[in-house]
Amino acid sequence: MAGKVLAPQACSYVGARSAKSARTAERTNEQVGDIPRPSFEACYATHRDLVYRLCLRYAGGRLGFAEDVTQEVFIRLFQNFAKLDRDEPLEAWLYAVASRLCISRLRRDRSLRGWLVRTIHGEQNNAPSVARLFERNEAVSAVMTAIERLPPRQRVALCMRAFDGKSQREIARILRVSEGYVSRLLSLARSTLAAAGWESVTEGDE
Amino acid sequence: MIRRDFRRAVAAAEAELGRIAMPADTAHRVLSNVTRQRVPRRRLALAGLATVGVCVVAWALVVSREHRDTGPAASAAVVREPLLDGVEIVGGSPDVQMDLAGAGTRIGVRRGSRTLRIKGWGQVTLRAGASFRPVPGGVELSQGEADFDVDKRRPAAGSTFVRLPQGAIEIMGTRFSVAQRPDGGTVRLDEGAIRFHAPDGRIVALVPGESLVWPLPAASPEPVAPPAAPPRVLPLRATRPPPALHRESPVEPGGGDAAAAIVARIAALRAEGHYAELARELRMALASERRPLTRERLSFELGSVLSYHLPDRTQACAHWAEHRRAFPANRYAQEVSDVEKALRCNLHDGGGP
Repeated sequence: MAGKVLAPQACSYVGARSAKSARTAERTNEQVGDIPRPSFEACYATHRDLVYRLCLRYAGGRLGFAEDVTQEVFIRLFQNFAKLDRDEPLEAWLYAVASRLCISRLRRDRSLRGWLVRTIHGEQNNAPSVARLFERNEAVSAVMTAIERLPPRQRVALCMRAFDGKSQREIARILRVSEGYVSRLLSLARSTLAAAGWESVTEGDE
Repeated sequence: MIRRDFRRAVAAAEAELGRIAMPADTAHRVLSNVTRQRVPRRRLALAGLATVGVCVVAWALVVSREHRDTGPAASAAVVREPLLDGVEIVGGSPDVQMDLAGAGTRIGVRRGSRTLRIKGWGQVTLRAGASFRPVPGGVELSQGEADFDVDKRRPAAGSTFVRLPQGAIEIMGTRFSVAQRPDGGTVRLDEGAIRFHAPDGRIVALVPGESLVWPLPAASPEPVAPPAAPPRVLPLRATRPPPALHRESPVEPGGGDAAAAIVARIAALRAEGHYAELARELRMALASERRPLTRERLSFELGSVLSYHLPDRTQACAHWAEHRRAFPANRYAQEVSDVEKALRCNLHDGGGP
């Protein structure tokens, strides 16, 4: 990993004891019982690449998008750090928040407002394209381009299913939608990709 | 179509993505922003964009409103400036063409219409062909048509005039339209009260809805008895219905050249707004006049001038008390009583019937 800010090992958040209450755990580095609470910086160092890669995947390789959403995700973490349930894996929390934020950002980017912002920033010209990011592998470039053409919710649901092997129930819980809706999203995404020449789109769904 | 294996491509993509890490400088910047709770740059851009948008919309609204109020021609630089001292343009038709003449003191409208605001006086809309200028004590319309909307005036402020080539219109706070042609003209009163002063001294009072055409028809040679009621000064009698249209001379007919000269002199002074001189003239005429009806009429006129045009209430009250003593029959009893009531003569001067 390039540029370590803090040692990743410092974040031992998962599996720690639950906080007695949010009031007693307001400061990020305070002690809870005998187990020291990990620092926010340590958790950031541990999980930032996970979140960054997730965002890159949903954004089709747009670095600016990935940086902005990663920042938003960790701002949420920073604001809720003391109140999080320490029995819940932090990775799962970050995964869910990043996925939801990516969907909202992708939907916003498709609006007129998003187009205006991108035009002002000139992101279309400056951001590395999917082809450049994955130029060493034509198949990778092609599949990322195909995924990027899907609507935001279909794209995120498909990536969860195809890349991370999440079940429809898990996807529904993370995205806070019904399982039926997830099934429909996946079905639509499969149809689109099949029409574009892709076979065996998601394992176990056929 | 070439069929490609999605699962294999995804596995390759996952391997590629697994090799990507957040650059060190990016990681440092993001952490710094997060701990300082800094808003992502795109949100700032959006806020800036929204601010610019609001400003543009507000500017467009202001411009369109100004444009609507004054018309395209009025948005030119010339109409944004005061036209003359105390006169500014407040509206007009889009096709207006106007010019200034007489060293910039006379305003002429060649085409369309133009609305002017005269500071402390009122508003006038000049129509095509109108020629106009502000003068001391009022305005002068030498030709053309104009609509007037004169500000409500305080009783102590006295009357103001629209001077015309063939007379003058005395105004007591009102809305009316005037059309002046080379051989005469018309006035239509919409609201308030005005009196038309003919050059021969005749005064015609108008009530709302009435029109008057001049030059007035020649005065009847035979005496009129009893004489008509005098013109009523409306600002002090707003609750009473306005009087009917009447025409009268301040002197009895048949008085010869001297009487005609007095009438002309009084009319001229009234039209000019020289009330102090008018009061002096009326006093002299009263002293030399022997005919009782004319004396009573002149006394009444003098009382009116003292009450409404000169700021001396004590003198006015004293005059009305003297008027009642000198003319016990008092043809103008009601009017005198009203004026005294308005001036509160009974309370302060111990007068009264």
